[in-house]
Amino acid sequence: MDVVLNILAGFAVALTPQNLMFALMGSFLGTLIGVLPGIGPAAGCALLIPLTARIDPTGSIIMLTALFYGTQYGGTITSVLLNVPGEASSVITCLDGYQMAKQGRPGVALSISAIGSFIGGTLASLALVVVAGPLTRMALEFGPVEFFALMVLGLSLLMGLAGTSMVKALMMGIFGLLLSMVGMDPVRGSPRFTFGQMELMDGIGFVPVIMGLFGLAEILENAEKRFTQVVQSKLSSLIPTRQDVKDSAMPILRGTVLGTLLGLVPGMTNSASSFLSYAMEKKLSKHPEKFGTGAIEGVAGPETANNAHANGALIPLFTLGIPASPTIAVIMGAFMMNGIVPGPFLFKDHPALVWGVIASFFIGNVILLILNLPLIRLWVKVLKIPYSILFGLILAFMIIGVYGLDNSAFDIMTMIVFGVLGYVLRKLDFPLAPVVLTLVLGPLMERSLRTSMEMSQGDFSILWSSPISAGLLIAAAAVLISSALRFLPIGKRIPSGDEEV
Amino acid sequence: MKRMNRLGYGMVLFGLLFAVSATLLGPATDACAADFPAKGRAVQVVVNYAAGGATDVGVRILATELEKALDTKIEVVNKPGASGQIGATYTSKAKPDGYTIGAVNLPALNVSYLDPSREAVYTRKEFIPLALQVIDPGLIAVRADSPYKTLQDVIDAAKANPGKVTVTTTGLQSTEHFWMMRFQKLTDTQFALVHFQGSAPALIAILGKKIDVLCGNVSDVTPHVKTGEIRVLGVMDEQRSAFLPEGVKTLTEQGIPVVGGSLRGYVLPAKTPQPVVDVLSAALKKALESQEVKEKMSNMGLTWRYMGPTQFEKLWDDLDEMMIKLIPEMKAK
Amino acid sequence: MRRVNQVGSLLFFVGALSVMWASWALEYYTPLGPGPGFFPLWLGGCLALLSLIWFVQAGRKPREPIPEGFIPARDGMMRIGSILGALLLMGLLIDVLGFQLMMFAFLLFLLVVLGRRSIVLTLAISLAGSFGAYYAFTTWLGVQLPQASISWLMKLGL
Repeated sequence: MDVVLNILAGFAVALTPQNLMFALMGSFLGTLIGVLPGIGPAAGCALLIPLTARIDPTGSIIMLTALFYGTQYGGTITSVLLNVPGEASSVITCLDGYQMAKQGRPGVALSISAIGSFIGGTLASLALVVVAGPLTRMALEFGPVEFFALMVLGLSLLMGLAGTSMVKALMMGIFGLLLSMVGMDPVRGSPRFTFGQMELMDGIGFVPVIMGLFGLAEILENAEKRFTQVVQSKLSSLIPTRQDVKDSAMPILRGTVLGTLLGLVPGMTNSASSFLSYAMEKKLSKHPEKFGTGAIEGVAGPETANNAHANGALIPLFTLGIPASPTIAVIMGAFMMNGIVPGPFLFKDHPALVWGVIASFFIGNVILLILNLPLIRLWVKVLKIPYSILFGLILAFMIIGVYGLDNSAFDIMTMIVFGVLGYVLRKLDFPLAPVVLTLVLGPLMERSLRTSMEMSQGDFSILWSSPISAGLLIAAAAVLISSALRFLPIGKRIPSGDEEV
Repeated sequence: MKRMNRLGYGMVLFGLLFAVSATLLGPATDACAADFPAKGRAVQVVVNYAAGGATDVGVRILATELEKALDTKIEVVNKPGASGQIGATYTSKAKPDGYTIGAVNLPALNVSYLDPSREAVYTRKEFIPLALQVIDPGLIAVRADSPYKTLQDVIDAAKANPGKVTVTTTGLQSTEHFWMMRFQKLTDTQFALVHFQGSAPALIAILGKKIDVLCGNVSDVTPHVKTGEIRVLGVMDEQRSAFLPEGVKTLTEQGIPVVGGSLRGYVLPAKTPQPVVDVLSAALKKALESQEVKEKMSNMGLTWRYMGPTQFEKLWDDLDEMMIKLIPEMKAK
Repeated sequence: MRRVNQVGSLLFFVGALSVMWASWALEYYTPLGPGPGFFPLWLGGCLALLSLIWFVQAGRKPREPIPEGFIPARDGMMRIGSILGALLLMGLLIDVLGFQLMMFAFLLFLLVVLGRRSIVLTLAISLAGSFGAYYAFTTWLGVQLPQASISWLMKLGL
């Protein structure tokens, strides 16, 4: 019952006009930063740091956190409308969201992702209130070994992303892994495949690669013919149909659970959550062939997962005082600067602040939903701009996005290279989802393997020493076998429905 | 054909613009030290790490006060990549007129030019030390319920089981990696060094009982020392830390002279005129000594330690001398 | 189409071999497990094998003509070329001429050549996308976009 009283007291704090305004400002800025290229949540929060000096700690933390989870709402919009992700975590939405837009259903895609985001964000916050303790214990169980096993499970989903040709999907998966090997290797810390380029020491930039493979390749393809509108069909209503809602319900729920759990693990990126959600939905779907052609499940799952991830990632901050991502490190800085130490004592020492902030998560998510749903009507108007003008604006948008992240012209060059590559690969009918999946998971996997080996000093048995990692590895093996069966001649005779693990 | 005309027209336009600008590409003599900083001209602070990182936030806290002290706008520009090398290269090549200041982390910067495999285009000589803002001392700590009560317990355990006691670092060739190398050498021990990506995963591994010993910075563990989850066994500084319980001794006090931490300071490109250096170092001193900056930094567990150009330079050179010896040792392993 | 696939697979094969060759120089194994060269070598090997399988698969398919529009027509090539060329110049010169000038020229060029709208609209969009965006990003968002590194341009506030 304590919890109920506490959260009610929290709402009393969060609902004061002043704090409501901060939640609104944070939500608005977050949406804006999510839409805008070249500025991500971490940079957005950092820019506000000097401002927070002048407002009280509760208000400033409410604003920063709202900005943080608000970006996850905004990042979707450009993915769906322009095939250019506003944030790295919305990349996968390009695959089905953009196809939906082309079919005249951008409004439905955006509505469903806003609703999914709301559900994911709210339920993850609820988890913080209700089951923070057990979740924290789980996060602590997650060392490098378990991390590695999880990455193996993630990669095992790769085969499920195949379209018509398993060979091509595997080739793309390996291509992505090889790309992820560029940079300082995690073993010796020396340059690998960098060709003497200092800019490649930290690896090939994820955002430039994505902008190239998706956004630029799309523009190049459209440039083959005289520019015509991309969306030929009439724009349908913004309101999802009954069927849409039915199809999205389970992906949203699964995305919430997946995102919240992965959010707990420090070092796990937001994009890993959305990718794994996509791969999982495709694997579980009864009609995986629809993915990539505008399946609503491919939008609902990942967009929910990245919001649940954002709110889930705040849990270790409150319970352990550990920032699970760079953005949360900035938020933690805002706590510390005000002399407030995040961690287990937070609830005892500053109950008004902490419960107020937690209550504000619920309010912020409601604000974001109210803010975003009417805006969709406005956003889809972007597609009415003649493409002969829009293409120039998209290019400008991508240049700012790519350059702005690291202030590096090298990244523009990277985008060009991958734009041409993406264009050619599309012509040859290669699926792009596997490249991006392995590009996200590859470095995490190699690094966590190395860390595990350092822990055991070279003894491989550490990899299946813990029940969690053993379980994850067995699951990975099961996924691999079931995917392989689908493509082997004998697998064809197994009636659909029985093949799942 | 009309289309081709358009194409030609556009290309000529583009080319013309390029040509005009390129021919006029020439050095100009400005930067008059007397009126530095010129009214309305912003001073750029180049941060070698991504926006939102610890270094970046430190700079942004300072920027507000520095704007007051210099009476001009401060622009924070992030040039992240290659462990700070990209930003350092940018600063070293910037025009030495005082409008570009570099925010640097030592010893990360030292490593970048001392390790030949990094192929840095700059050396120590390309930078003028301006001011030191922070020393974040290293430390050795364990979980509160760890069987190791003292530093000697850890050393004994490592001697009994060479290569079995696990220790975190925040990454390959990170500061912690260097200090642990030195620690092992001085105590004649062998640990299993586990390189994480930054301090958050390392802390989770410690709290989750995956790893035995933590090697980190004071600011990283301040929250956990306050809650009593972590017991610090020794701090790598010349004096005890105000952020840790009083009884925590330095490593030197315990007979192991390892002194080091993460240093954050400001530099200018070489050849900046002396009057400009003086203006900037005075302004930085004023900003760094402001109550606002001091208070926020100490809340964050950062050990405030202002040093002017001369002191900072000496510290830097001492560090260079030590790193020159350590780098080949680390590479050999 | 068969020929295209076969050429593509051979290109991949050569690429995979060069990855293997490059990883050969890296340490294959360390006392603590796989070294920096371990994964690239095996991945390169797998990629080489898969491209050979693709080659064989492509060879088994019946010969069919290259589908219409697989290779864009001449004017399509020109459009693609001008987009890529303008982007390339942008990448090369953005740090020299600054964001505002470059983006203005970039948008003007593309909209004149490819957009073919009225000159007023073209100019308006180019100005908004370059000078307008610069102002918005630097002033309201505090995000720095590059300035010209040529001093007389810099003095003009570009």
